Amino acid sequence: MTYQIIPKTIENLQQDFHNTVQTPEPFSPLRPKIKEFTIGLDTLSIPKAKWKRPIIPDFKETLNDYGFIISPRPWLPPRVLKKIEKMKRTQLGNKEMVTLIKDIARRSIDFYNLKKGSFVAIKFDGKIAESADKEIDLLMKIQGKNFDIPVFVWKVGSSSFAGWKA
Amino acid sequence: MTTHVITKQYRQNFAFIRIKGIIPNPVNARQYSFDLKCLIDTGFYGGIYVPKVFFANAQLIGVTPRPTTVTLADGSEITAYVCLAYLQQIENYSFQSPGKPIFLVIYGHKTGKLIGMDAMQHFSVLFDGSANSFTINV
Repeated sequence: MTYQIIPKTIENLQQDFHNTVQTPEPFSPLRPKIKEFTIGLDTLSIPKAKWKRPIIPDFKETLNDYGFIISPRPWLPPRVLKKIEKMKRTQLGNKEMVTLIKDIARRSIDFYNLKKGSFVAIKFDGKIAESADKEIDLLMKIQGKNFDIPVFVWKVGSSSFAGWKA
Repeated sequence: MTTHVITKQYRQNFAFIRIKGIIPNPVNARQYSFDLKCLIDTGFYGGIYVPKVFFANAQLIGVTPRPTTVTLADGSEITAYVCLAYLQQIENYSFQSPGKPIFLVIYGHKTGKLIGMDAMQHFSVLFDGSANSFTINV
């Protein structure tokens, strides 16, 4: 067996170039790694900069700029907000809880002008999470779901979800 | 349409029935089964009234009962928890799967179990005071 040395002419070089361009190499993990370049910096000579809080743009404003309409939330008085904060730390008493639920429910129902007799699941910040005409339908909608804020259920136009009061 | 008739005697002047049901979680398809002896209470608006141990049982399958206020017979308002359940069996009669949807009222301070008007819309109950008995037509 004899080997022939092919002289490197311009034509041969062009042929080689076209071969390499037209048939790209398949991706393989054995591809040569790109060398990491490190720049030698004298870090000790750089004065330490004080940590500054990054400037975060107002998310609400950004959304408005992009044309999203953010639904407003009913205004809750400081008394109610304080109770919500307290509820996060400790368990509220029965009376406190009843008045808190009633306050939020009445405000949000007036705010959203909901139909009397329907059933709603209201978040503790006053937003309506779900609504239905029957209590069973409402419970079917929210059963097993996780909400970012705890929700309670309420019958619109009534003093409570269940029960009769003269 | 055939009707199933159940006749029972009062026990200590009260009408008790045995029921079976489930609390479903439609998100993860898990369920909690329960078997209770309930007092028939025509003054109770909800489906089934159960003690607070059901709150923890519902949480085991990923269901969080929702807080609300419930008006009691004396007019007082309490904070109770409600969730959806399916009534599957009354005494020896079984409803078609998954059962009849009712709402559970979970309240912690009493251990009594009641079956109320919301559950009773799925069958009829006839009380016979002179014979100390009641009849359920399903």
